[in-house]
Amino acid sequence: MSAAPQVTLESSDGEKFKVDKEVAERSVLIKNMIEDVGESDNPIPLPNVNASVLKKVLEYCEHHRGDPLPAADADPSNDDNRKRATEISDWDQKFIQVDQEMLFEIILAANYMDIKPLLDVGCKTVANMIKGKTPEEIRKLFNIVNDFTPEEEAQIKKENEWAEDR
Amino acid sequence: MRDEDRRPAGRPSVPAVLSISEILTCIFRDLDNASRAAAARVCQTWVDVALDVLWEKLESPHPIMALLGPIRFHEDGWDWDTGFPDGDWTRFASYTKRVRSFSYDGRLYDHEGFTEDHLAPDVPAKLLYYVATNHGAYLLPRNRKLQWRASTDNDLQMILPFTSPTLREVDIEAQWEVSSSATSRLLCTLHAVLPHDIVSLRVVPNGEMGRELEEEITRVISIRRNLRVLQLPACLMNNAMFIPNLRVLEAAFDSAWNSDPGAFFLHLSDNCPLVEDLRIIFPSDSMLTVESIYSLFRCFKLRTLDLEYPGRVDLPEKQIREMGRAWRDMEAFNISSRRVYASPILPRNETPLASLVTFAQAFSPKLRKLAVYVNPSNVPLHPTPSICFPNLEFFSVGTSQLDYTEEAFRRVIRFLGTVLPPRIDYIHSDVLSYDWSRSVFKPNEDGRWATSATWNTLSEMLQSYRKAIPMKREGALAS
Repeated sequence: MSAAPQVTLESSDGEKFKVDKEVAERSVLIKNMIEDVGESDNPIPLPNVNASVLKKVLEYCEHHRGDPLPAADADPSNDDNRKRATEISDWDQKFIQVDQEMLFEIILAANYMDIKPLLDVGCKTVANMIKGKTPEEIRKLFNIVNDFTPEEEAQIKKENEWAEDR
Repeated sequence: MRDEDRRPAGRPSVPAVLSISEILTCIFRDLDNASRAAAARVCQTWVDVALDVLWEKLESPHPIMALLGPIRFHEDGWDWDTGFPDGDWTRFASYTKRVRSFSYDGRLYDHEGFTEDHLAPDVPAKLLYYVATNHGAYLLPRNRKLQWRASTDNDLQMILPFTSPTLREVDIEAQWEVSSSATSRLLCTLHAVLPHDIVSLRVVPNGEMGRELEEEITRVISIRRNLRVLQLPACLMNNAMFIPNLRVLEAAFDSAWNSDPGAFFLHLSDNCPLVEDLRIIFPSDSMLTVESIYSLFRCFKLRTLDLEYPGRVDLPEKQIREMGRAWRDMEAFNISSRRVYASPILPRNETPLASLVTFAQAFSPKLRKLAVYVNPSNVPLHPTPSICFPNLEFFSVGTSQLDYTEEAFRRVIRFLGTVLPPRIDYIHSDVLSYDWSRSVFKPNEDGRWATSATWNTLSEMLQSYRKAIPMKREGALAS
């Protein structure tokens, strides 16, 4: 029996990771690159992802290597699709328990490498942090500067008051 | 000059990841409306994305009405008595252009009377007038999906201000007090107003569909050939409905137009070979048989086959196997499971309960919903234990012959307990009611499922049987 085909990925800070092709191809970006370039021994450069983040992302891909790929045409505003995806599995929940900086890095990497399920887990985690908070609490949480005038903020509040009941 | 240099001194105003709109959209879609509204007030970078998500799917006209300041809520519903304001239309449009899906439910009464969503009778006409003359644009200029549940004629008419050339999906249900003439008038207007390239149309009138209504609907669809979804459960099938790209079709069979269901299915598979979800309601005089659906085998993409027929369609094992081979993607299957009999019939030729084993063997593991009419007498004593539906979630049976002895019940349960996967602990048993708009796969208006007392008892027995099984297995292991 021959060994599973492998590819080498290179992080922005030059570290090389040798992984099974099947694992790397959880990333649509890498999958397309391999398809375009063909099999080669040269490492695939990922200039936007550093070694510590790439290690984490590959840990996710390794765990989910056998999962069915999400349908490309699934409409995210569709209720059924959303409901199916509202829960984060126990493993994913544990995986994503990292500090805020790492969480943001993972989301950016998942977005860049096009790993939809990982992006979803990251976004859901951020959403859970936002839920039920006031604008000021959200700003404080993420270190965001308020660039609204009090009048502007008041007008947005008034025009969207309907969303607050129920 | 780089972006950072333009910012006021100090830290960046928003972390990089939280300023990418695709990521923000993904985050905000996971929030409730109140949190979305809070997110909109966090900073300039967030406001547009948060409001886009908040207004993407409106389920009430209330938010739009609230933007039109002096329109007030009276006991009769929303109204304005001082004429329409010289409102800030730019601001108004900044919200309404975000709406992609709008639904209205005229049945949302509370115990006191009207809810705040209810509109006074003159509102639709005024809205249409003021929006057209002052605003000069459509009320919802980029809306794609319109879902309307009307309970009065006024409700129904109110849909017009909410239409626009961007609409692609339209779903209208008339209920309670809506008259047939009002529905027919509306369809006549919609024919002129709706864009030609809509892809989805569902119309359910209040009660029976008269000749006049059918003519109006036929006119609407005859020039809209991009339709992929056509759901007209009360409408008799006619030539205009055979649209080449149809993926979803729901209609009633017209035995006056074509008395042979076999010829009908042949015509359907010739003209709509890509159909995936099919629901046809057959009248009792239409002579549906298992042979008549053979030509449907050519519609190999079929995922839902939902054929309502109050007469018998017995399914011999050979035919079950052929169906399983033809439709590899079948997820929901119902043929004549909700039969109604005035008098008992002979059990001899009915599909036996044992044929469920054939279903499990023949159909692909994708099968999630099954509704069949079976005869539960002569249940095999020892069903093959390895045969089971791996992914079945829903099971509904119709039966006329049920031996009411405890021994017979126990046999049925032992059999079903082996063949059905453990996640199914409830057996539905529904009869075809006057409400033909509801499929056997859908619950009633109140969210409940119809079933008979007998099958309720059987479901309870199945649950206790399931509880008893692990004990038996443990016992077997111990010995």
